[in-house]
Order: sequence, then structure tokens, then C-alpha cells
Amino acid sequence: MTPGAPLRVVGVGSPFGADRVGWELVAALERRRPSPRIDYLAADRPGAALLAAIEGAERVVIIDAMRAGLEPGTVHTLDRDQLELGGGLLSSHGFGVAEALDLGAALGLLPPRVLVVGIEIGPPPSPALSGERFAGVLDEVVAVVAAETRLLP
Amino acid sequence: MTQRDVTINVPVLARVEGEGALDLRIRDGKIDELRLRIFEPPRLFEKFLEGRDHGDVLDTVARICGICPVAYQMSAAHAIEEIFGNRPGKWVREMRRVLYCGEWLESHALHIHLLAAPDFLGFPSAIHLAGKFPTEVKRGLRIQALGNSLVRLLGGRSVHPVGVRVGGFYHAPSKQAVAKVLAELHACLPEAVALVKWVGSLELPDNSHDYPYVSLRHADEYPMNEGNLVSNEGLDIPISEFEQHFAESHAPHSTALHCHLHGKPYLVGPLARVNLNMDRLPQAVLDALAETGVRFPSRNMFHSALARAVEIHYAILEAIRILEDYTMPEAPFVVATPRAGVGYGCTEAPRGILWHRWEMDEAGRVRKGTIVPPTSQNQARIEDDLRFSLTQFGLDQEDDAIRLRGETVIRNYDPCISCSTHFLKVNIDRG
Repeated sequence: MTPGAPLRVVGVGSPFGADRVGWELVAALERRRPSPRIDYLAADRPGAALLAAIEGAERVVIIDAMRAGLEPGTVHTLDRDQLELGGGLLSSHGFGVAEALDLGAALGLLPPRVLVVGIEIGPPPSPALSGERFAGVLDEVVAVVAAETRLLP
Repeated sequence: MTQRDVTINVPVLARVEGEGALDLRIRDGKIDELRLRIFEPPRLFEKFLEGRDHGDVLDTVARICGICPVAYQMSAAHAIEEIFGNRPGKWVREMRRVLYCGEWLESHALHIHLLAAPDFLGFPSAIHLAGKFPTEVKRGLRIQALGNSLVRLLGGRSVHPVGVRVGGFYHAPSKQAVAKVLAELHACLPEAVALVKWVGSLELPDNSHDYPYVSLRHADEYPMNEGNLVSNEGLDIPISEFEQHFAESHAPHSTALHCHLHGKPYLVGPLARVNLNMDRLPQAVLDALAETGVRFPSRNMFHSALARAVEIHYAILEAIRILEDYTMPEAPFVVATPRAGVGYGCTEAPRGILWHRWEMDEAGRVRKGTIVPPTSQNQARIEDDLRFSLTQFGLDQEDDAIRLRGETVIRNYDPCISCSTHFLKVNIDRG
């Protein structure tokens, strides 16, 4: 990771099956598009610590698995306020990406631009995306990161 | 008084596999049925590790919980080191306490600011709380970040930063890295004192009632990695005798796992720890607590947030104590020679005692692992608490009010959950 790069790409996930896709994409992105202008990070269930992970960047791309009822492998880009909050928390384990970004907004801690890239993994048991499907997802995400890079000053 | 029949079902959607639910049925003004299923014990991890080399255990168990990887590694490491006759020495022992300080700081700061403070200040969420109390919430995030610095001091920059191995650590931090974290600790200390005062000033319900509670207890220190298991009802046993006193069983008509101590549900966690180890806290911590006017030992589960604030204060002082005298070791770990046997580890995760039993073969491969997390142990107690607290609150209250009080009771325990959480959904059975 290059400390202090203006674009930060964060893969959020957990060790469980298709929920690793954020990590796998970030690792593949870093191999495909290394750049002094991009920090690549993987975060395991970061909760509110996501805010510290994106602090100081100009633009942020967060990549995470999602369940939105779409075809598995669908890549869907969202602005922060399009994310659905989980509702009332019973546990701090339930504090996810949407909640962390909302908290950051309420505290004035968010970078100027935060884009969320959701990768549809389908309903449980959600097998990991692999092979051609993963390659197709990677191509789409590369294009998203390239577009964000072009918008850097 | 109108007596209503109420059925509350809590379906919970899963981010990963798993399920959870709260079923509540009220008939004739009494709780007729209450079943809680919010946590599945990590049986898949235990099974996955059978036959694998001991070197895989710590990396694997660290993935069980996103908030408490240190706890899982600590309990497993101690058990495996016992089997191999491995004694890592004073440097490792102290640095493992620093590591646990970091995890307590992270977890407790999250709990206080994301769960407790919104509840007790009347906000539906931390996001709403942040709008009115931004200074306090930012302070909470700084404490969490400090905890993360401590954990990363002893780990790497990978997605899983914890650098624990059997026999010690993979690397020793440099004196410069320690000096940087020490400065952060000192800067945060006044914030920890202010936090105890703030949490102590919150208006809290009182659901004090009788129940057993359990923690570790050590001859000299506030417990983290070592000690006997003690309770407020006279228990005092080595951790190897856990299974002779504590029993796991499936709750009737449910997949939930319940743990009992001598047949009774019991509490583990920060409230139990503070209650049973007041005399192991430094004077500065006791003084800050005394100024709140809240007396411990306390049986009011709503005081668990204050117990967490007390432990944040303690953890910063303890990390300072250890790191001020930091020296580089000759080696950050002691090489272990595998041998067959059975070993036990029981350490104080942020949410309470995490008990492990591991059995190895002569080549150091896992024969069997047993992991009893704190939330497993609290599940029966949470049910009992809900029964008591909702009855005390008043079963003739509006459904939404019952739901909110139920959520607040559960949040006191900050349970590890296998899945994402949602509002309690209220289905009213009018019969």
C-alpha cells in the first residue's frame, strides 16, 4: 500500500465463502493496476473501523459482496445513500458498511467521494464466484477504478 | 388491565450462513414462551481443524469472530502450549496482555458508542446519537483506533493483523514503534477517564436480580489470559475442570445451545469480571469509578456499559505499564516441540470467558477441538434476563415498547452473532 494515495480501494469481506469476493477483487486489482495514486486495502468485517481505513483519501471505492436478488456476478455501483441500513442493532457485530458510512457522514468524517461497488453473490449458500464469472466481474471493477482514477486532480 | 396475547417473532436475515430468532409468546399476562437463538457455536471450525497441523489452529480460529480474533488465538495458544510443554516466558506473557488490552479497547469502545449510549440517551441508533453528541462519538472512535494500533503493533499489515503463533509472536515490535503507541496511549488516558464519568452519568434502568456470574481470577493481576474460574457462588476451579461443573445442552424444542453452571444459567463478561476482581484494579481506576457514585459489585445488567468503560481505563493504564519498560527480546517466540496430549486454554474475551480444549496427536496434528465462546455461555442467561426484565417492565405495555426493551436487554450482552441483525419484527397474535 502506498500511504496517502488519493484513491483508496477497500475490499470488505469475511472469510466465509463468497463473502471473500471483496478481498479477492482487491488482490487481483492490485496485480492488474498497481499505481502510486491508488492504495489497495482488504478489511475483515471492519465495522466502524472502516472510517479509519478510508480516512485521508480524496476518493474511495468500497467493494463488497451483496445480496440484492440479482443474478450472481452482477456488479452494481451505488452512492452511499442508496445503501439499505440493517435496522436496529442487537450487537456491535451487526454494524456494517452502510452503518459505518452513515456514521461517518453524521460526523463529517467521510472523504469527498465514496463509491460502493456491490457484487451480487446470490442467496445462501452463495458459492464463491470463480472462473469466467470472476474474470468478468474483475473486468467491470477494473473499469470502475479506471474511471475514478481519471477523475483525480 | 387488559391482558393481551402477544407473539413476537424475530426473523433475522443472514449476511453469511446462520440463523437467529427471538420467539416471545405472552398469554394471560405472563410469558408463556421465550426462545432465543442468536448464536451458533463454531462447530464447523472445530471439525475443519481435525487432522490439521497445530500451526493452522491459530490462523483459523482467528477468523471465527471479526471483533475478537485475539481472544480466539489466546485461548487456543495457551491450550496448545500446555500440551507441548512450551513456556514462552515473561516477554511473551506481557505482550499478550498488551494485545488483549488492544482488543478490549476496540470492542468496548464499539459497544459503548454504538449500542449502549444510543439506548440510554434515547436515540434509535449511533448515527442519530452522533448528530447530537459528535464529540463523544468521535472520542469512541479514537479509543477504538487506539485499540487497533495496539493489536497491529504485534501483527502485520495484512487483512488479519494478529501476529500470534504457538510459543509467542512472529515478530517483536521495534522500540520506535512502541514509543509511538505509548504516546498515543498517554494522549488517550484523559479521554478514558472522561468516558467513565460520562457513562457513569447516564440514566439507566435497574433490573438487578440474582444470578450466578463467572470470570477468571488471578493471584496478582486483573485477569486476561490466566487464572482459575471463580463465581459469586463459591466456585474456584482450575480451567481444566470446566467440564465437570459447566454443561452444554440443546435447549428444548430449539437448536440453541445452552450452558449451565451446576444446572443454572450464568453470566460471563465485563460486569462479571469487574464484580469478581475489584481488588485487582489500580487505585486510579477505582477512584474514577467511585466518582460516578455507581457501586460495584452490581447485579444490574445495565451497568455492563460502565464495566466496559472501567476496563477501557484499566487497559490503557496496563498497556502503559508494560510498554514503558519495553525491551527487545532475544527472540519473539520459543520453539515448540509437538507431542500428544490434551490442553486447556481459558482467556477473557471482551464478552467473557472463552474456553478451549484441544487434543493433539504425537505429530502435533489436531485430534479434537472444543470451543465454548462467551455468547454460547450467556445465551441461557439472556433468556432468563429477558423473562425477568420484560415482566418487570410490564407485559401490558405497547408491543413496540416491549420490543425495544427486549432489544435493550439483549444489547447489554453485545452478543457475538452469526448473522446480520434487524429490528425485532412484531407479529401480533390476536387469536
